[in-house]
Amino acid sequence: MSEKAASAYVNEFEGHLVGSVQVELTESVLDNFREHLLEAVQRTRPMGVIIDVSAVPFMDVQEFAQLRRILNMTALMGGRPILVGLQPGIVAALVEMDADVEGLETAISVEQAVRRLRVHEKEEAVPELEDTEDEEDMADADDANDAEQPQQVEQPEGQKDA
Amino acid sequence: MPDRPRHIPIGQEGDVAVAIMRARQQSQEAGFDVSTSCRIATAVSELARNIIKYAGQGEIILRRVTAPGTSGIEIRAQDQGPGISDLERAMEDRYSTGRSLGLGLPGVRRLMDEFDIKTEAGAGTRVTIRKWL
Repeated sequence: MSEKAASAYVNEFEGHLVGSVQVELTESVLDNFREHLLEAVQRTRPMGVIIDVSAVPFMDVQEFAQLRRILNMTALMGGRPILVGLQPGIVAALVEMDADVEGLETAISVEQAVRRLRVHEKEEAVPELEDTEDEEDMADADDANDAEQPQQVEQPEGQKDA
Repeated sequence: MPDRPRHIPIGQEGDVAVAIMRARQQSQEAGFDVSTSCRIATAVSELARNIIKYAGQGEIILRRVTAPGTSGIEIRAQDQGPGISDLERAMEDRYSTGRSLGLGLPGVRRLMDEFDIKTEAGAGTRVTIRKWL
């Protein structure tokens, strides 16, 4: 167990979780990491779940996909997963292999991820008019924009008489 | 430098890890940088996983190769599995067709400098890839 604890760990930081993997992502490392991480998400209710893989020397397509599934799981629990520190060689190979990277939030460093989450937190803490619009669906938001700031909306020719 | 080939039997998940490790090691020994070694190891991993998934077992052979003015690494992945019945489709890119057979072969080809595949229904598959310094 102590070996596993050293290879992947999870810490709390400013209301976020920072998970870090320090070795190659074998199946058992990933399984262990997933269990620790999901348990920590449930216990600490973090806003951000930052996963730092900067110490991982190699990751193939399947291991990356497995890691992504873990990120998706934290998202399902209400956290905001951000992947940090993929090494250039790994990135190049994953993209050439056509790995599914769509919709994945990443940051260049843990610090950058934390800064981004801080900004997001501030926005959430001060509810303003725009925030309530965000809650409504697109049509309502468009209506509101039309009413308040007609000059911002492009005016298609056909709609001028409306 | 004459160098004896390394045979790595592939039959289970743990063998993939061995193949990856040896590929990275041998690539770096051959003079490739970390990034390129990563690409080579990714290709090796894909071929090794294909062997397990589709043939059950086979082997990966790593060796140094030389050509006038350069040297490099060659990886051969071979099995006696069912072979690939629609090779043309297996080599099609997801970008162009919207779907692939999922063997990752177009990706492997992109990662390497040379790519050769021989496959026969019922007889097996042999993929040979090379990367030059």
